[in-house]
Amino acid sequence: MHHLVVKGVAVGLTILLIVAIVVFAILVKAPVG
Amino acid sequence: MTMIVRGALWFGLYFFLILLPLATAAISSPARVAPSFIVELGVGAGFVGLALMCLEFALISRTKAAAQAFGEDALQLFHNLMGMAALGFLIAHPVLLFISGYPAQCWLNPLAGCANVATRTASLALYVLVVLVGLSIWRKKLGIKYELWQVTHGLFALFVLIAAMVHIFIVGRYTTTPIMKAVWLMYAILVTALLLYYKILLPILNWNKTWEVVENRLERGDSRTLVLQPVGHKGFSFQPGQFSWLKTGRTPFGLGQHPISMSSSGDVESGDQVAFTIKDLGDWSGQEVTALEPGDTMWLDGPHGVFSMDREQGMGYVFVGGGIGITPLYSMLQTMVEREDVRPVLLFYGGSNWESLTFREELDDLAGQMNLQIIHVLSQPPTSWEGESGYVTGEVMKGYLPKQYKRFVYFVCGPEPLMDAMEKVLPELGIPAQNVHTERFDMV
Repeated sequence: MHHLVVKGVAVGLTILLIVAIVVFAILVKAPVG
Repeated sequence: MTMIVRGALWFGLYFFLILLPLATAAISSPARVAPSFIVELGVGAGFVGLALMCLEFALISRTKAAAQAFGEDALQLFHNLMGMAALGFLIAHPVLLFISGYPAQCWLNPLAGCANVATRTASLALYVLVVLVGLSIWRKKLGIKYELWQVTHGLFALFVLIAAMVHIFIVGRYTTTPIMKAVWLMYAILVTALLLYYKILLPILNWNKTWEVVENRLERGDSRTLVLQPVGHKGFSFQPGQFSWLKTGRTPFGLGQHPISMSSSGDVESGDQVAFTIKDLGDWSGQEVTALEPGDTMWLDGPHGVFSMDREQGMGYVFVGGGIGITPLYSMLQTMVEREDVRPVLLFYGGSNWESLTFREELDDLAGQMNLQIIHVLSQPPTSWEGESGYVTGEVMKGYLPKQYKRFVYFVCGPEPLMDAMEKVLPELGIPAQNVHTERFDMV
């Protein structure tokens, strides 16, 4: 498989995971105090 | 099922497994006691990083069903890239917590008075992971032997996983719920099963499937061809262009397996010999391979790989090889001759000088038996050289490609600079991506 494709998939996946972590943090965040 | 569908399914499973701990934590969080958004970001980064680490074992587990969809060198590269991503997430994990006020001294210094099991396992896992990734990136520059690196890589990775698992269960932020425990238990079972299979079960199964060295001959370009004979078993046939993992030593266990392309015809009868050609790059290839004598025993794990004309039928082929990357291409050409395949093949063969071209005479012989045109491209040509000089470039290729070249199938194998160049040149020539197949022989 074309290595640029692999690199592109890895970068895209990492961005998706960062988005997922942000969504997770929003979902589980409780009101402070 | 097409390879694209199979690839999409495997990737979907991979993505699902990475997000599973995060999703489970979000759904099953027993009490919303999060002190801050930043802390939860840190926790999420930790879960994703650890899940990525667990799946790193699966990416290089030589699972044929997955490898067939992507190619093992692509999986290896993906393993390397996602390992670095995992490191990034696992560094972000404590950084975000420190920003939120967690005491860095306790979490970074295992010897600090405030340190406990949870902090020590966390800091040690992180430090070992940094070393693990650093050694992988700079192994060659540091001069570390491949075999030694292979051992430390596996042991360090296992240590990181165990320490990280202990850490998350002691902290217990989300791991107190049965479903979350079940998820991480599943990951632990997955990694353990993969390790047991590849390090224990497979060597036991291969114990009696030995191969005997029949011949060890020197080739042009500081290379050696090992001709191996299966002993007491049928051996294997393979798709020309594939490779096997070779193991020397007294037992099939353990250390130092090397991915080497077969250099003989793929159409092997039961019990027939198989040849491998290996370039002397120092350590194993220069010492142990050189010392092998007829009668010595080896173990093979193969065949592996998707770099084969048998999987990609075309009206004709263009092969681009550099250095020892000629080996899988040579195997394909021999197989075509045996099959009396009349389709045209153009071979661009790059090398430093005329004398170092491995299989130079053998390829000339094949050209007399099939529709093969060889274009040698020398970076250090002799003064009387009238052929192509420099490197295989788009300009060089344009001078030889037939009018229908966009319908040909391209196979490229060689050192990194050649591979990088071809990944730019071939799209510029208008070759459809699905017609281009590459394999990097220094994938590990």
